[in-house]
Amino acid sequence: MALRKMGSLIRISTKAGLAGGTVYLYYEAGLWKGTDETIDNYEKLRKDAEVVYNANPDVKKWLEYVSSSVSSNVKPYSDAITNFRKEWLNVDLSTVSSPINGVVKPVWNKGVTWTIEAIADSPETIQRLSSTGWEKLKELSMEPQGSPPKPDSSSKSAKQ
Amino acid sequence: MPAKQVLCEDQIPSALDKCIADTIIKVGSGVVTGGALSLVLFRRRLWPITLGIGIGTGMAMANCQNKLNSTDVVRRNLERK
Repeated sequence: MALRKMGSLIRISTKAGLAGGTVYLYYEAGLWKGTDETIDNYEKLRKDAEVVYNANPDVKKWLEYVSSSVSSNVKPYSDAITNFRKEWLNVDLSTVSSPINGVVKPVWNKGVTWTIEAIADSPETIQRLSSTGWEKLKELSMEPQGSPPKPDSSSKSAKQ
Repeated sequence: MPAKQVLCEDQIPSALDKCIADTIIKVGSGVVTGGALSLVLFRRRLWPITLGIGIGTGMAMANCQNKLNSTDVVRRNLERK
C-alpha cells in the first residue's frame, strides 16, 4: 500500500517536473519579456540550438533523414499545388494577338462565342447524348441478372 | 552600443514588424508549453494548448500596445488629448 502510494507520488512528481521544466526553460530563455528582449533572446536561443545541432553529427544525420523522407512524401502533392494552374487551368490565350490590346476582351469574346455556339448546337448534343445513354441502358438490360456465368468454350479448349 | 536611429516615418512599420515577430514567438511558446502540459499532466486534452495560445496572444497584444504607444507619432497624439 505504501509502495503503491510512493510509486504514484514518484510518477506525479516526474510528470510535474517535466511540465514545470518546460515552462521554466521558456522563462529562463527570456521569451516572455518585452518585444525587443524576446526577439534578441530568440535569436540567441536559435544560435545555441544551431551549435548543438552542428556539434552532434548523429542528431544532424537523423534530422536530415527525417526532413528528406518528409519532403519526398510531400513532393507529389506540393508539385501538384504549385503546378495547379498549368494542370487544371489551361486557358487558351491564342486569341490574344498582342498584349497591348488587353487580355480580358478577346477572352471574354471567345467565351461569349463558345456559349452561343453551345446553345445553338444544344438540340443535336442532347439527342446524341440521350441516344448513347439509351443504347447503354439497353445493353445493361439485355445481360441476364443473377444467372451464373456461362462457361467459355475458349477456356474449355485451353484446358484440353 | 548606441541604439540604431530609426527614421520617424519608419517607426510604426518597424514596430509592427517587431509586433508580428513577437506574436509568433509567444504563441509558439504557448503552444509548446500547452502541448507539453497536456501530454504529460492532463491526459492529452486540448484545453491546455488553447490556454497556452490564449496566454501567448495576450502577452503579445500587451507588448504590441506598449511598443506602438511608445512611438513618437502616437505619443504626440496621446499627449495632445
